[in-house]
Amino acid sequence: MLPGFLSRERTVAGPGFNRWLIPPAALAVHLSIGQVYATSVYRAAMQEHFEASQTAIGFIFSIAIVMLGLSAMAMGTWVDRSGPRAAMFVSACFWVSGFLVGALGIASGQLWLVYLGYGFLGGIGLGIGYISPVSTLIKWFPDRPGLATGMAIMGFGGGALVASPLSGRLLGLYDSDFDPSVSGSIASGGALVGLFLTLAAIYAVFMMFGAFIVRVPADGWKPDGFDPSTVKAKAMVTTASVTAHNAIRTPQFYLLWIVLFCNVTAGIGIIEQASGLIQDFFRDGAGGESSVSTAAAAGFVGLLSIANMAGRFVWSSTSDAVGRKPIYMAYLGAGALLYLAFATVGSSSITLFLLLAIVILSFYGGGFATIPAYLRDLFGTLQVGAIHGRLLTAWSAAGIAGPLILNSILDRAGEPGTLVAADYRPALFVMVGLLVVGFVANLLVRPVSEKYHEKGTDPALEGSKA
Amino acid sequence: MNALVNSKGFIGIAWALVSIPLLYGLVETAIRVSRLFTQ
Repeated sequence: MLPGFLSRERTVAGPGFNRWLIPPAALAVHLSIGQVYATSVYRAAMQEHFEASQTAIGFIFSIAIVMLGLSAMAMGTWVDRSGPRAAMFVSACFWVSGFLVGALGIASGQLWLVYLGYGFLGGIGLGIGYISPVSTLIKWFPDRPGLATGMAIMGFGGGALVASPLSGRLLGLYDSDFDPSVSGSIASGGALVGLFLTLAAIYAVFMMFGAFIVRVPADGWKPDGFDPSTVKAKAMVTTASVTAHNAIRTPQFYLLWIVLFCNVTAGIGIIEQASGLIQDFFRDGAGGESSVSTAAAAGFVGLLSIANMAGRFVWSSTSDAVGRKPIYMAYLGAGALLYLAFATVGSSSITLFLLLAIVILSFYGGGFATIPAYLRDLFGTLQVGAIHGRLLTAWSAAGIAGPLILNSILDRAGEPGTLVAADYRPALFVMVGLLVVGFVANLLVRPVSEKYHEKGTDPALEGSKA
Repeated sequence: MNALVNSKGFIGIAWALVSIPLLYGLVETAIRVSRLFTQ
């Protein structure tokens, strides 16, 4: 049982509450858990400290992403029932415990403790934290759900932008011999422990702040000037409600699962190999020198992070105007064409290469951020958090499939540092094929059959059910 | 408590708290990105 101050009843907003306080609450959580994409900063230090392979260290991240999907699936209904404050609080406890147990593992030289801490416990915090503000934002912003969820999920992308330089500086602070700007410089195990403990303290404060300020709208609340009948007028937007239990029986759920899986797998194709990719695309023949330096390649990784983050906000907000199905047509259809151009002519010019990569990555981010609003359109707001949680298993699956497809093809092509653009083509063509599959799946999405709708739900109050 | 949280000043502080780290991350990343164009 959770303490009373965490209960949904205690978080109901009073009259006149300003809904613009909810996005910072959501951002506080998503900025914190977004750190999971900044693990590459200390990967080399981990390898050195544990004398472990890259695969063994990469496994920490894999466990965290798999646990994200599994915990979002398992806890989604609880999150919807208990409210955002309880969910954010529990997420913070797991995420911070993950760092603390991870720090213990590093200090004692026990890698399994890092798997258990950061991977398993932290991964549970990730899953609960990721879905915790989504349904609340959708209820506060029934007029602009894409903008609202885009803002929060943009925070997840932004979390890595913050954690990456911050971690480098903290490691430099705890280990005076470590310089993050010098290639090959590796931080000590003691610095890693200091980093984990500091991040735990920062994220504890930040996430608890989010939990403290978050509120749910009162029954019957709707934004000034918002007319629910304007929502009803759109063909692909329902005003009825579908439970999570029923949602997973509909073809629409599985079509969206395929859409998300294909979009994420294709995006991972570029993200996973970003640094090596740009160097290999502009290499002077197999085994020759690349015209792109390691420092410039790191700049490319940063550029992709910004494109990914911006796409989450820009495209998700745009979907409020153009509709969810059409925007996924662009993510997947135009995305496939851009990917094809990237694979075939991307190595002809660095400017073209960068432009294509930026748009592709913005579509990848947009695909993540628009999915909650798409779910709201198809299944209503009743259990959108729980349905979103179940759908995030597609992310976990893509997190395994994407790198597996890419690495298995590249491993056969040759040694790292000797590859050229042509070696990437088979893998990139597989990603184009996946985007086409996703495009067809999205094309097949139709409104959910009425037999799955909850009886007696009042469409006029959809946006206000707390 | 609701009145405090709902005041314009508090909302401004809340937005600043999430915007400042994000801005820090963006500036640091922009510096890294600039190396891509100055090589």
